[in-house]
Amino acid sequence: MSKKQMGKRFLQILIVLMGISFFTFGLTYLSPGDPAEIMLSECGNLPTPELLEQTRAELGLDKPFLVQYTTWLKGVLTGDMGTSYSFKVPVVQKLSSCFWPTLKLAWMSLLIMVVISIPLGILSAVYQNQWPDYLVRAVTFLGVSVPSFWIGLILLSIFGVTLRWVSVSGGSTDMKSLILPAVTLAIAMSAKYTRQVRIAVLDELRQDYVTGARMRGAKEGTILWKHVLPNAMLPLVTLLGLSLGSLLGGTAVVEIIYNWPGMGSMAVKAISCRDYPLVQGYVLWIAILYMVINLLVDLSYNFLDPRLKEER
Amino acid sequence: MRQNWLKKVIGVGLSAVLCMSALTGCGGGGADASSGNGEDSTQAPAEQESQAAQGGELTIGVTSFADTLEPTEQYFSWVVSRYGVGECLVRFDESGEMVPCLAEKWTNSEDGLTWTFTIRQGVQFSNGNDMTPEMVKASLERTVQMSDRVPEFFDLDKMEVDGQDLIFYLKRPNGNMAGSLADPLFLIVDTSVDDSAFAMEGPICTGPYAVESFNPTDECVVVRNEHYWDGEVPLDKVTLKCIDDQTTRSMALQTDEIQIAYNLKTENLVEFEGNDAYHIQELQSLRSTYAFMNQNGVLEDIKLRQAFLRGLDKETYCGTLLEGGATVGKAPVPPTLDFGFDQLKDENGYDPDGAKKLLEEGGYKDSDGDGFVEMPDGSPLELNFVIYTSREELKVYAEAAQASLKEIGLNVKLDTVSYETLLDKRDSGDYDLLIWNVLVANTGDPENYLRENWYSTSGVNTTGYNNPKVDKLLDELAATFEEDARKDLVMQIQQLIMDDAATVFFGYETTYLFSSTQVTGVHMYPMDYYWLTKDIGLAQ
Amino acid sequence: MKGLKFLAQHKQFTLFLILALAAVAVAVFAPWIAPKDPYDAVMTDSLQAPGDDYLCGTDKMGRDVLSRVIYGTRTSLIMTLCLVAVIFVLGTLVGILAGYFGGVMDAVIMRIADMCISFPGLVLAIAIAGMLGPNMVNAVIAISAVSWTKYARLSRSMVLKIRKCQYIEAAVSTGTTTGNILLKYVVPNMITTMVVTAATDMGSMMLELASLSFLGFGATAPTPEWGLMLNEGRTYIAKAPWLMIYPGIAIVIVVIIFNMLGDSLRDILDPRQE
Repeated sequence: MSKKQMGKRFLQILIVLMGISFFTFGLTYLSPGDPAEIMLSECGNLPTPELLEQTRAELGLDKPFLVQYTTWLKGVLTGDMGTSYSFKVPVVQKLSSCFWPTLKLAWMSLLIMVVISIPLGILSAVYQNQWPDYLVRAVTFLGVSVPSFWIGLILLSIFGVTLRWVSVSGGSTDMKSLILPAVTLAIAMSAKYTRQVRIAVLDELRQDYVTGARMRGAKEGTILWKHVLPNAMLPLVTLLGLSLGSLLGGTAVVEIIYNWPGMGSMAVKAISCRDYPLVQGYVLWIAILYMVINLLVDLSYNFLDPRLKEER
Repeated sequence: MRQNWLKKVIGVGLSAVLCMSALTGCGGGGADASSGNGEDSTQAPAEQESQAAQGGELTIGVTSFADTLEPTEQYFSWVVSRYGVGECLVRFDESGEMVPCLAEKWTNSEDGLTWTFTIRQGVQFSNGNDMTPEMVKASLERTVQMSDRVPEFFDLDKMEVDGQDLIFYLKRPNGNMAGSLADPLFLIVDTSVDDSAFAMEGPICTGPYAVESFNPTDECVVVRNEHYWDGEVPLDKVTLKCIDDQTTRSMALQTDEIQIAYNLKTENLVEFEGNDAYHIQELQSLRSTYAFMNQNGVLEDIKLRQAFLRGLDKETYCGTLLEGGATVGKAPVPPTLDFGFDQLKDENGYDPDGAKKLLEEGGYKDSDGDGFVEMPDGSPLELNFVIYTSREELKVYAEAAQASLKEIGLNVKLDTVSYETLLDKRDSGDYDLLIWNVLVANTGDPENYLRENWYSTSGVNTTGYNNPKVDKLLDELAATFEEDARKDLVMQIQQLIMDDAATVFFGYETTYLFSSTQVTGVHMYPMDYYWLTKDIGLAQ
Repeated sequence: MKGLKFLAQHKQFTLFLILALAAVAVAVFAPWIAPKDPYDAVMTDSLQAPGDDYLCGTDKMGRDVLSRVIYGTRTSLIMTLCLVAVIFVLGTLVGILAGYFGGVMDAVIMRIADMCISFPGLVLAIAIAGMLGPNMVNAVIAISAVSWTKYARLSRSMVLKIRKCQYIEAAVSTGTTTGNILLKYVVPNMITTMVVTAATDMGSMMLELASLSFLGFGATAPTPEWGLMLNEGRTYIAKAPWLMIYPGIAIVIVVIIFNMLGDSLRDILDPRQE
C-alpha cells in the first residue's frame, strides 16, 4: 500500500468509527428507561422527582442530544467511557479485564480451526470429486448447519455432565475450562474455513503454471508443496484475520453456555441490565478491534505477496 | 458435481446418527450418576461434626445477588452476612431462636420504646480495630442514614452510649427490636475507615471471614479473619462462586468444582440421593413466593384480581411441577410459622368456572375471538408479569400461571429480567405482576414483612395497595407485645389482604442444601442469613 | 412441460425443493399434523419421557414436545422469511439507488454499510434486540438492521457494472425515463444473483434468529420456537435430554434443507461462483 492509500484508509476508518460512536450513542439515547432513574435505583435510593432532576442535571441529561454526544465523545477520546451502572467500575477497566479471556478463547479456537481445516481443505481439493472430497464436504455442510449453542449443550452434557472430564461451572480461564468452548467455536468455524481452503487450493490448481509444471513432468507432490500451497496461503491469511475479528465479537453465545468470563457474556449481561455505558463502550471497543485487525490483514498482503507491489 | 447430492446426504445422515448415539449415551450416563447404592445419605448435621482439619480452602456455589458489598444498598447486606463477613448484634440459631452475637444481652422498657443492648467486649474488626459501643452506634447511624428500608423496621429517635450499653429510644413502640437488629441490614461495620471502598472491596466487619476480592456476578473470595472473637476459624480461604444456572450449579457439585451448593431444588435430588459422597439437608422454608399485583394499572379492578387468583391451580404447580418441593400458598405467612394458616379462609381458591363468571360480570369479553378477553371498553388486555432468572422455580410458577390463565381467557405476557432490573421495575412501578421471593420472618417474626409489603406508605409497596384497616392493625401490632394478641392481629391482617385479592401467593418452597461429605459443619438456618459460618471446615 | 424437464435435469435442486416445500407444508398444516395443542399444558404430565402418549416426551409444563417442534417450524419459517424478505427488498433497493445515482447518497449509504460490515453482526443484533425488548418482531428488526448492508453492497456493485453497458447508454439517449431503465434493464439483470444470495442466506438467518431466542432476546414463552425450547431444555439437561435433542434436530434438518436448496440453486443459476 502506498502512503497515499494508507492515508485514505485511515481517513475511512476514522469516518466509520465516528459513525459507529454516533450510532451507539443514539441507540442508547433512544432506548426506553431513564438513565438517571436507573442509576439512582441501582444505588438504592428511591428516585424522588427532585432527586431525578438533580441527577439528570449532573449527568447532563437535560442538555440537547448533540451536546451530550460531544461530551461523551470527549470522554472517550481521553480514555474515559464512563462508569458501568451494574459493576460500579470504570467501563475501560471492565472491558480490559474481560478482553483477555476472550482473546485467549479466540486464539485457542483459531488454532484448533487451523489444525482441522487446512489439512481437510487441501485433502478435499486434491481429491476433488472423489470420496475424500465428498466426505469432507458433507461434514463441513453439517458443520455450518448446526447451531453452535446446540453443539455447546451437547458437548457439555457429554464431557461435563456424563464423563466429568471438564469443568462445567466456568468462571475460570484455565486450560480445563478452555477446551470445550474452544472446540465448540472451532467446529462451526472450521466448517466454513475448510470450504474456503478447498476453494483457494482449487483455484491455484487451475492456474496455468500448474498445468505447465505437470507437462514438464514435475511430481504432483512437489507441485502441491512448492507452488500451490504457498500461493494459496495468501487469501487464507486474510480470511484467518477476518475470522479472528468476528471471533472476538461473536463468542457471546458460547461464552454464555460455558460461563466464560469474556466480553461476549459480559455484553449480554450488560444489555439485560440496561447498563448503557458498558454497552456503548463494548460496541465501540469491538469496532476498533475489528478495524485494526482488518488493517493489519491488508498490510500483511504487502509482505506476503510481492506480486501486488509489482502490479501497482 | 450436481450428482454429488446423494453422497452429501449420506454423509450428513451418518453424522446425524453419530450425534444421536452420543446423546443417548449421555442420557444413560446421567441416570447412572444418580442411582448408586440406594442408601439414604441424609445425616443429621451433628454427626458431621467429628473433627475439622485446620486450614484448607473451599468453594461454595451461590447465585449472584449483589452488585456491590455495600450493606446499605438494596438487600446486599444479606450477602455480606451469608459470606461470613458481617455480623449483627443479635443472630438467629438453627431453630430460629434469637441468640446473642455482638450484643451479650438486651432488655426493653414495658412500652417498647426504650431498648438497651449490652455490647460484647473484646470483639475486634477484621482490621484489628476494637469494636466499642461508640463504633456500633456510628455503624448503625450510618445504616439509618443510608438505607431507606430502616423505617419498615423501627422508628429511631436517638441512640445513647452508657458504658458498655447502647440504648435505643424509639418513636414508635417496637415489640421486636432485637429481632429487627438481627436483620443483616444492621450488621456492624468499622466506620473509622474509608467506607466508600466497601462497595467493591468489601466492608470491614467482625465475622469469621474478611473479603479478599469481589467481582460481581463472578466470585467473591474471603479469607480467615485473624482477629475473630469467637474461636478459631477453620479455613484459610473460601471462594463464593456465582453460578446462576441451577443445572450448572448441580453439575459443578458433582464434578467437585464446588463443595457446597445453595439453592438447589427437588429436581436436583435425583442427582444426589443415595450417593455417599453428598449430604442433603432440607428445611421447610420460611420463604414465600408471591406476585405483587399493581393496582395502579388494569388490576385495580378487584374482579379481575379475583378471577386471576381463581384461575391458578397452585396444587398442581407445587405438587407436580415442583415435585412437592413447595407447600401450596394462599396467605402471606406460611404454615411453618404458627399464625393460623389453617383457619384463614381463602375465597379465591382454584375455581376456573368461577373465574370465568367473574370476568363476565366485570365486562371482560372476548370480542375478537382470539381466545383472550378484552377490557370492558374493548381495548386489549395483556398482563405484564415480570420475573427474574436466578431462581428456577419462579419461572415454573410464572409459566404455569400463564398456561392456566389462558384457559380462562387471560393473556399474560412474561417479562424475564435480571434481578437488578426487577428491582428497578418494582421501584418504578413498571409492571402488572411482579414476582417476589422473600424470607417471611426476617426479624424472627412476620411483622416487618407484613409492614414492608402491605403498609400503604411503605417504600417497597409500589402496587398502590392501600387498606386503612390493614394500616391500622399493623400500627396496633407494633405496639402489642403479648404473644396471643399478636397472633390474632397477624391473622386479621392476613385475612384482609387475602380478601382484597391483593397479592398472588404461589407457595412456600422447601429449601435444600447439598454439600460434599468432605465438608463438615454445614447447617441450614431457617433465617438464611448464614451460609459460610465459623463451623464450616474440611473433614480430616 | 418445460418446468418438469428443468426439474428432471436438476435432481439435487428438485429433491431439496420438495423437502423445503415439505417443511413449508409442515408449517402451514401444523394444526392437522401436530398430535396435540402446543400450548396445552397438562401439568400432571410434566417432563414425561418419550413414549406412546408423547412421541417426543413433554416439557416442564407438560406440553407435547413433538407438537411444539412441529409448530416451531411455523415460527421459524415465518420469522426467517420475513427477515430475508425485508433485507432483500430493503438492501437491494438501497443498493440500486446508491449505485445508479451515486453522489452524496452513495457515499452516505456505503459508509453506513461499511460500519455494519466492520462489526460482528450478532453482537449488534443482540444489542438492538436487548434495547428494544425481547420479542420476535424486534429480533427480526435487529437482525435486519445489521444484515441489509450485504445486499446493498452486492446490488450496488452489480448496478455499477450494468450501468456501464451500452444498452443502458442507448436507453438513456433515446429518452427512456429513469424509472423505466431501472425496471426494464437494471433489475432484470441483477435479480438472479440477488435471489441466489437470498436463498443461500436462509439457513444462516434461521440460525441467527434461533441464537437470539436462545439467548432470551427473541421469542418469549410460551411461543413454540426452537431456540427458546433449547434454552428451556437446558435446565433439565441431565434429567430430560429429549427437551434438548428434538428441537436441535429440527433446526439442523431445516437449516440443511435450506442450505442445500440455496447451494443447488446457485449451482444452476450462477455456476461461476463455485
